[in-house]
Amino acid sequence: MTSRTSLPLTLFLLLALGLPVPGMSQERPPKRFEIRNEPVAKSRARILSGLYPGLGQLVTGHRDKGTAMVVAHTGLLVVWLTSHADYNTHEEQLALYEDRYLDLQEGGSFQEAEETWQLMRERKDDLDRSHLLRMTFGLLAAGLYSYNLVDVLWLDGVESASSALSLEPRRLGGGAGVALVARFD
Amino acid sequence: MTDRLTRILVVAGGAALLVVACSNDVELPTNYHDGRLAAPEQVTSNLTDGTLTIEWQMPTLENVTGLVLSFTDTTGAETTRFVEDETNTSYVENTISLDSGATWVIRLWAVDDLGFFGPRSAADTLMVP
Repeated sequence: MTSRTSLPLTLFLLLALGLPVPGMSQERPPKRFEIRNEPVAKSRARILSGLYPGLGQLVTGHRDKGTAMVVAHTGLLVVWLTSHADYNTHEEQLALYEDRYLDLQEGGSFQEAEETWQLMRERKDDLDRSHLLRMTFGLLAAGLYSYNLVDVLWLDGVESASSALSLEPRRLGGGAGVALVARFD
Repeated sequence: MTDRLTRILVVAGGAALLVVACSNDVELPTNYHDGRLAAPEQVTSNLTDGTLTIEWQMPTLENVTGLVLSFTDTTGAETTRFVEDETNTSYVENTISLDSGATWVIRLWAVDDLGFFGPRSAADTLMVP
């Protein structure tokens, strides 16, 4: 390996490991190694929870609650939106059958009308099922969102939480690192 | 207190909006075909001296403006005749082939003023001796 290529590689490794680089000032480490350890403001956490349930709880340290809310709300939204799309599809199909059924009134036959009627009833059953599903999951999503709002507005959802054991970014020597922190309150 | 009430109203309003936005107001159209026309009953066919006579009974003549007679041979080919007078209960057919060994399936149905065909009668099978 030539010295021309080995110098940048050495610098990269030193920077990555957080070791002091010869010739660089030890007083002010590069900005990318600066670690923000400031608590998140309640108002910002509330805004985050308003944008998506669980985010405000996550940034204030309520990891279990925040993660559960994010995952649950995402799942509820997926089922809700899927059943809503199904509902729209069934509605369009029902409209097509309805047009056909009404057209058969003039010049059609009982057999054709009966077949179309049965198809319409099947579509209507599908439509009602999709509606029930989307209402159920829509209300569940709304309920979870509401609880999330209640949690951050009135309960302790955005109070800073201190977990007993956590991994936290720390400045170690001249570089960055991760520390396993245990708290004994 | 007002702030608290506003928050409650916002949450309740969101839920109400969801319920209204997801309303299911789709209904089936009015059923027009069930019971609109009655199916002819007791369809019988008699072949006497080379003349075919078909007889039937209508349970009700409500909405009926005519009747269609259908003759289907063993190949599936269908020949139809229209009976303009809905009060008739018989029809004499003398144009279809009544060669020996021929088989005809005869059906009947009512028609209304919009040209809608009612339910078909039970089939009567004619076997020419």
